[in-house]
Amino acid sequence: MSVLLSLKGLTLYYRTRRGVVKAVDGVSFDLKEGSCLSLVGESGCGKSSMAYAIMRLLPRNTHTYCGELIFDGKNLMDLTENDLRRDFWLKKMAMVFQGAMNSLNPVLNIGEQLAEPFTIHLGLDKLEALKRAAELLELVRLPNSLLDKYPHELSGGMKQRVVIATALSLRPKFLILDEPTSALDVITQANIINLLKRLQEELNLTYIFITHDLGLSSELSDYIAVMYAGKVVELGDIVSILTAPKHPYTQKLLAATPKLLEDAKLEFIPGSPPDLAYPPPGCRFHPRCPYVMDVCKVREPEPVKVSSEHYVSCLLWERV
Amino acid sequence: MPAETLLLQAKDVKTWFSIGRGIVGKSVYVKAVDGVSVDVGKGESVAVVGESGSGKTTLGKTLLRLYKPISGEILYDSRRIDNLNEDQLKWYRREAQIIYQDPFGSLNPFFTVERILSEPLSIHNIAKHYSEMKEMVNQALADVKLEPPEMFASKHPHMLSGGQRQRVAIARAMILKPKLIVADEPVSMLDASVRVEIMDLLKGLQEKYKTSLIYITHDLATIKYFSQTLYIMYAGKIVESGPTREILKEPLHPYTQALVSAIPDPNPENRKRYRNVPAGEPPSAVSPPSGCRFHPRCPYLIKGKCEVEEPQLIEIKGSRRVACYLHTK
Ligand SMILES: Nc1ncnc2c1ncn2[C@@H]1O[C@H](COP(=O)(O)OP(=O)(O)OP(=O)(O)O)[C@@H](O)[C@H]1O
Ligand SMILES: Nc1ncnc2c1ncn2[C@@H]1O[C@H](COP(=O)(O)OP(=O)(O)OP(=O)(O)O)[C@@H](O)[C@H]1O
Ligand SMILES: [Mg+2]
Ligand SMILES: [Mg+2]
Repeated sequence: MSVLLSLKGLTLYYRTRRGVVKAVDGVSFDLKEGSCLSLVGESGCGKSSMAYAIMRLLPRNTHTYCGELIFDGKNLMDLTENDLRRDFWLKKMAMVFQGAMNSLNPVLNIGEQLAEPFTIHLGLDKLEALKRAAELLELVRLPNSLLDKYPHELSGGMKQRVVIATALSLRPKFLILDEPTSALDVITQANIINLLKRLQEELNLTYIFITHDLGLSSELSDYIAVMYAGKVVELGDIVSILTAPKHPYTQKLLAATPKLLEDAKLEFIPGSPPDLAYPPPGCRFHPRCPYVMDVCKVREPEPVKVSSEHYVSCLLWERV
Repeated sequence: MPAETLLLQAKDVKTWFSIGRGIVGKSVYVKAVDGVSVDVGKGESVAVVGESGSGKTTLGKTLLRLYKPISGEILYDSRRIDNLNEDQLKWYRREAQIIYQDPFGSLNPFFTVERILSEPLSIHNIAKHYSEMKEMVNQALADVKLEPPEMFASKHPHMLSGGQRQRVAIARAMILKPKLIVADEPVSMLDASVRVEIMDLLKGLQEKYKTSLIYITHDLATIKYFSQTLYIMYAGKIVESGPTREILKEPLHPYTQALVSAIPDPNPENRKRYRNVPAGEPPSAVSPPSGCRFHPRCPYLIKGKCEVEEPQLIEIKGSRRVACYLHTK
């Protein structure tokens, strides 16, 4: 499999009244075409920011944006916003935004919403665009009868399917899904996950799936990247991460995840993630780490390869 | 359950909402809770689990008498409370409290934490003077581990994290030392780790003060760590009930089976399989399906039976009950 997306030192800082927020701070990894990587971590550790950085969808208060961002053989950093709009967004790469199902346009019916990309980007006439909209509904297993319904008439699961359909309208091969099921109940969630699996097979999609739930990440991922305070602290194939996690943070996250068959008591991680305007020096996890050493407070760990597709950034694993 | 260990008992309770008139001029109702019986023991933690729209919140609010049921009986400490008016309920307002799902919406943003926590005390005329009130507020903050209490007392909700806000909501519910708490999805908006922390805290307080707890959630995964008894709700009805661990190990109702098989579990094998869950949407609460309300989505539909006659919730072994013709004749 070839590499579709390759990041080197990807960085995104925001300017705020409190100072510069280091939401994404030098992240590197490769993602193979047709695979799925989950991005997991606690609230506020920079998962959504990482998605924006990869899409190059930057908020106005961006302070620093740099690094290498190779997608489909092109360094997106070298392109203009017009290039991205013309050739990449929706056409090659798309994103399902966090909470998007609650921001569907209330005054447009579903047919009109789904037809929009076809009239705007492909210049199709209204009738042709509506035909495409109907095909999109079929793609996400929704009945045609929804075309003239309005968002408030749809259930949460239906709205999320419409959002996914919109993202897939121009048939991108890469899709970022930012917490696409966190507002849904378990059965609806399982149905959406089933749909995402089918779509990945049918359309050979490459996914980045963002969640704070390690259990959920196992549904789709080939790889899991664990983020803490703006950094990826561990990345590996799903078996390594779920059965032999190396970073103390990953181990703690797993111990906080309910398991159906085990009765072990759930543990929580004392303390909370740092303010990204003033992250702690050295390893950012050191104030909460049960194995903290003096050196962790001053030296920042580099990624260490522990097996063929498994990397961890932790001084416990650095060879001296 | 013997009467002396029972705190709350609901019998065939119905709470319907009128939503205007239909085409033939008859009132149209949302049958949010449509004949539910629940027993809650003293100091017991009971969970109510079901899909969105199944009527969990309405049931919880009915048991707290924030809604008045249209029929059925609710007994609290052997006293009927379903037919009392607001004046007659004043004592109950002190004994029974609610914790809401949304830690952002349920706290008044203009109040300090101290004011939020002291309000129930002044409504019920509990503290005799300021220093006593202050002491109770500090104790409540210490109970939920917001320490040092003085530091948190002067803050406004927006200055707190989601987890801290939910701690304040718990402190507010606990400050009157109620005998009953309804916790309506208290952790669903929080991260996995914070979720565990808040559940731990709530469970610790519930055990310390021997409070009875009705825990409402759609998340079966965490519930076994929390509640001994489980009620599964579907479309306004209880379809299965019993000891939590037994139900998780061997769910009897096809709906419960679907809920259990939908639990996301950290297992690398998940990647390779599709979840066996019913497609489709939960039914309309205005005109629920005939017979068993789950029949349109049920993989084991018995034609001529399930869609005709409503199955009753029947005890089948020990304390387990199920409403399904696969298990009851
Ligand atoms: N446009 C912005 N300007 C300033 N700060 C921001 C902006 N967007 C996000 N942040 C901050 O950057 C940090 C990372 O936020 P981000 O939304 O990327 O985290 P997340 O992991 O997606 O969290 P969640 O799980 O809650 O969605 C947080 O401290 C957040 O407050
Ligand atoms: N005040 C009300 N007026 C009219 N209908 C209502 C009212 N409250 C709830 N309902 C309806 O009653 C049904 C049950 O709602 P309820 O909020 O009790 O479900 P729930 O199980 O708590 O769902 P969720 O998991 O989404 O919180 C739904 O169809 C809802 O739309
Ligand atoms: Mg986010
Ligand atoms: Mg509810």
